[in-house]
Amino acid sequence: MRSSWAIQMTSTIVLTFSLVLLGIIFSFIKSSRYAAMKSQQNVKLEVFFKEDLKPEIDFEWMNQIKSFPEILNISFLSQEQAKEEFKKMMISSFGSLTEEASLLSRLPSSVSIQFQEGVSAETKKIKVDEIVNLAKQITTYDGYVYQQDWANWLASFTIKAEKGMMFLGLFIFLIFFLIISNVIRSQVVHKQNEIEIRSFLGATIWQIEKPFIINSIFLGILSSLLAISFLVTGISFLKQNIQPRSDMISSEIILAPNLFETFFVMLVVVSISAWAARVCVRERVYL
Amino acid sequence: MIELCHVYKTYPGAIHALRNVDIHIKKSEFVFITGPSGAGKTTLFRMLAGFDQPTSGKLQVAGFDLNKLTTLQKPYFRRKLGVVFQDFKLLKDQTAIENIAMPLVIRGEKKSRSLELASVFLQKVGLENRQDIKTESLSGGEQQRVALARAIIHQPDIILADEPTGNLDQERSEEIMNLLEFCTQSGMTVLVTTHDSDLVRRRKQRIISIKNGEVVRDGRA
Repeated sequence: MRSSWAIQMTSTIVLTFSLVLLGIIFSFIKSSRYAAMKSQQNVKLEVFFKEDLKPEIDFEWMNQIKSFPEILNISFLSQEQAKEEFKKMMISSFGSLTEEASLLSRLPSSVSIQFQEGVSAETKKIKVDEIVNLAKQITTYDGYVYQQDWANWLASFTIKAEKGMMFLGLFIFLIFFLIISNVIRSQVVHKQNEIEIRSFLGATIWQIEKPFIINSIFLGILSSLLAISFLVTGISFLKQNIQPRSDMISSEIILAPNLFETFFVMLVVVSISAWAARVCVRERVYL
Repeated sequence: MIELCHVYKTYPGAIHALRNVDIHIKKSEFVFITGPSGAGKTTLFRMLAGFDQPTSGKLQVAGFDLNKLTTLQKPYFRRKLGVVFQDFKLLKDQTAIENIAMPLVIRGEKKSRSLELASVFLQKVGLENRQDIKTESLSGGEQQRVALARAIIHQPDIILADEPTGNLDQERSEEIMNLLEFCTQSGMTVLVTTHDSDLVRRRKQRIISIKNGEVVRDGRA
């Protein structure tokens, strides 16, 4: 009896930690997907001009762009504003302007274009070409910057990571199944005599397997609840203590599984537990 | 109630445990099955209880064709039987009354009602003062009586008893046999395997003798 409790307790601890690991994997996937989406969204198109745009002629181009449904907003930075920003940046980074001061005279004016949420990378690329082609018709056009490489890299990394993590998640579920099976198998062996007698007396397979299934479901729920509390505590600790480094790496991107996802995982855990118990009892009980 | 037609049972290695056995037992009959050790009594007992199937021949018990008995049907077939095993097969960590109540609980009866009925049957086998004792603390004879009470509590169609008086003195044996004979009056069919030739002679019931797997005698004492 005592050894049976020891097995149950040890198994609960192992099951809890395997589920915590699953939760971490899940949070990682969710957070990286969110970060990729955010970074893709934050990439702006910047079009440069050798001189400030002339309101009466060149702003027509900006109005034309504003009418595109994919565009969220457009901001204009004059040469003077660009110089001021450049000065501020250099002084805050190096304390003085030094030799970069010569660059000030060559700073272009720019138009920064931000896309709406949910616009796909492909659509953005098409729109960028369209906007740039229109900008080229302006005589002072100097070039453009659209650095989506990092965002694209993060997006493709997320897809690869998701696949890898999915396999790892399945592996954890397999481990979970094996642990529950071992617990139930040891209980079935321990109660072999009782099972045999009950079956001689006319107990159905359901009557025999019911207590084992209930026990395994209890183990599954208990370890799920423990894992959830560990995860919630861990994530809230991280969120409180993480130091924001940039727009992207902040506490905002650490995402815990939501209620629906938690419920879904618990449902899977309960099903695996019940199935494992059923398999173990049926492989050892001969009616 | 029990029908065996040309039943053979052969174990691997060409061991013929039963050969051409023909037995017909009617409802409410009391039958002794006798024979020396290794004659095939246990094989017959196991087949009648549905733990084993014949190699060939027809075997019908309590309306179930045991040659075609499916796993799903087995529990319902066993509910029609009351079996007293030679090794009693009691749950040692449970009390005498809990063991006796078990067939009723398995059939879905409420636990309180089952225990109530079990105490009545404990009285019938003379163990009313032992009801809360775990069976592992009972003597062999007491365990045998608990096993008997458990076999009859649910009023089965057939009672199969393997050496039910093996551990009892003569007085207790007579009491138990009286109880089993009383069961036939309420419509139960009773089959008792035994070595005790004196007991068989005294009871004047139908006797089926088996030797080397064959029925060598079928009649009254």
